[in-house]
Amino acid sequence: MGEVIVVTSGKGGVGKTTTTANLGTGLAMLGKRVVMVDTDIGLRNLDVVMGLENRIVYDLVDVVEGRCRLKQALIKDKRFENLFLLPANQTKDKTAVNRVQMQELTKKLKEDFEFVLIDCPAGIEMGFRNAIAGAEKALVVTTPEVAAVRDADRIIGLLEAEEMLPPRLIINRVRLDMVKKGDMMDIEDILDILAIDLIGVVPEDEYIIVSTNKGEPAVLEKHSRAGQAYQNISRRLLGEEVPIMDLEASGGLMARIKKLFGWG
Amino acid sequence: MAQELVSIKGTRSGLVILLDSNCNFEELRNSLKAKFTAARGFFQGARFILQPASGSLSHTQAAELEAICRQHGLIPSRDITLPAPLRPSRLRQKENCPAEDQNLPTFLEAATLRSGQKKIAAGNLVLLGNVHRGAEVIASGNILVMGTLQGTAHAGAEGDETAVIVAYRLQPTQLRIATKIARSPEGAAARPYPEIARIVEGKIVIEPYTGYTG
Repeated sequence: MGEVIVVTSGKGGVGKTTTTANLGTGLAMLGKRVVMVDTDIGLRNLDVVMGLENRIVYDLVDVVEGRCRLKQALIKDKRFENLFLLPANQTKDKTAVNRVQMQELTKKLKEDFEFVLIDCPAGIEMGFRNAIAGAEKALVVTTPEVAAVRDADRIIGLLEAEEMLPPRLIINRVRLDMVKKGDMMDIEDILDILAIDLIGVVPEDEYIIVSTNKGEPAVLEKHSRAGQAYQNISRRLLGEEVPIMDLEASGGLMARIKKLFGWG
Repeated sequence: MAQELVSIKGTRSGLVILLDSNCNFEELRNSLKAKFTAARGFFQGARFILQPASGSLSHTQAAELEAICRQHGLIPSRDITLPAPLRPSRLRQKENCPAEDQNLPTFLEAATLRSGQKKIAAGNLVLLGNVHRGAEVIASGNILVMGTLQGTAHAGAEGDETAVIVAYRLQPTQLRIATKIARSPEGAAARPYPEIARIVEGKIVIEPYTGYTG
């Protein structure tokens, strides 16, 4: 029996879909049988980020309304045999599915998959309610910004009211140079406010933009620092002890040269 | 020059004079006369049939051309059968032409469909606008997009395999005709001309759209 994990944030644009795509791919790289479910009905993106948009025939709404079998709607990834996507519908809205349907769906999926990753829409309304309905675990994504942290706090409160394991935190788009200058909240500040376990820190990485546009998750690119961070989070999801990435370790070229000469 | 206005083909039963009647009648007549002048009586006594290869001739025009042929000693005949490759494209393409169900209504829509929008037509659909990625057009008959088709199009949605999809610029995410599905190859470059998609031997095939000559 697999585990159902929802990736959520409250605020939009902090990297839920990017996180889902990279963790799904990261877990598949580690040999796990994974399905990613896009619950952002009407604003689907996960298929685009995964580069699978042109393979969509049936979607989540078709499955819950019984227009197709679950198997027919699952899109096999083009890189990994053991990675699948259940895309959202683009022409309907969040009211097209309900909590009970989502619970039934995730129940069926976890019989066949080791990991069911649910990409949650932004907001705290019906889409969020549906996305968390069948989940046992939650990953809360935030960025080091006051507004994102505030929304993450609200989401954590809502998740705690559910019968769910305590959510774990991913801090995304961290810029060490800004943190050092005191222009960006640091990890400790965020953990003080949110008071939940940290599962990973993802540095800001331009490659994310490239990878999203190409439909190739960054975790596939070993030189991408965000990709490495997602790889680490994937391993932590499997229960491995992986130290939180040292953001200074392999910074820019200058930082590496400085380190080489012992100036770092 | 794309094609001669008049071409004369010999068959076992006589001469077939193929006429490109899309052009100016005056030019056609002069071209026919020129042919006979060049042939210097070579065709004397041969039986012939006039065959408009595209477009059509009025009765008076046909009669005028026939008269020219007679003047050059040709004998009109009704029972010259055309060898298959010479038959006008209209006849030749019969089994492969767009859905021609006369009962099917055609809907004309002037709109650009954005992501998440969907247009469904119980008949043929002509769209004056673009279909963005994430948008869908569905019709039980043919689909014509007089713009760029980047989303998904489903023609012959009720099972008509003769339905076609034509777009001024065809860059679809996915095409469906009846129960067949095709997706565009990864990283394919956009073609700067109109294209047509149809089912040929059970597969969706895309070709440059050069106009309907039937």
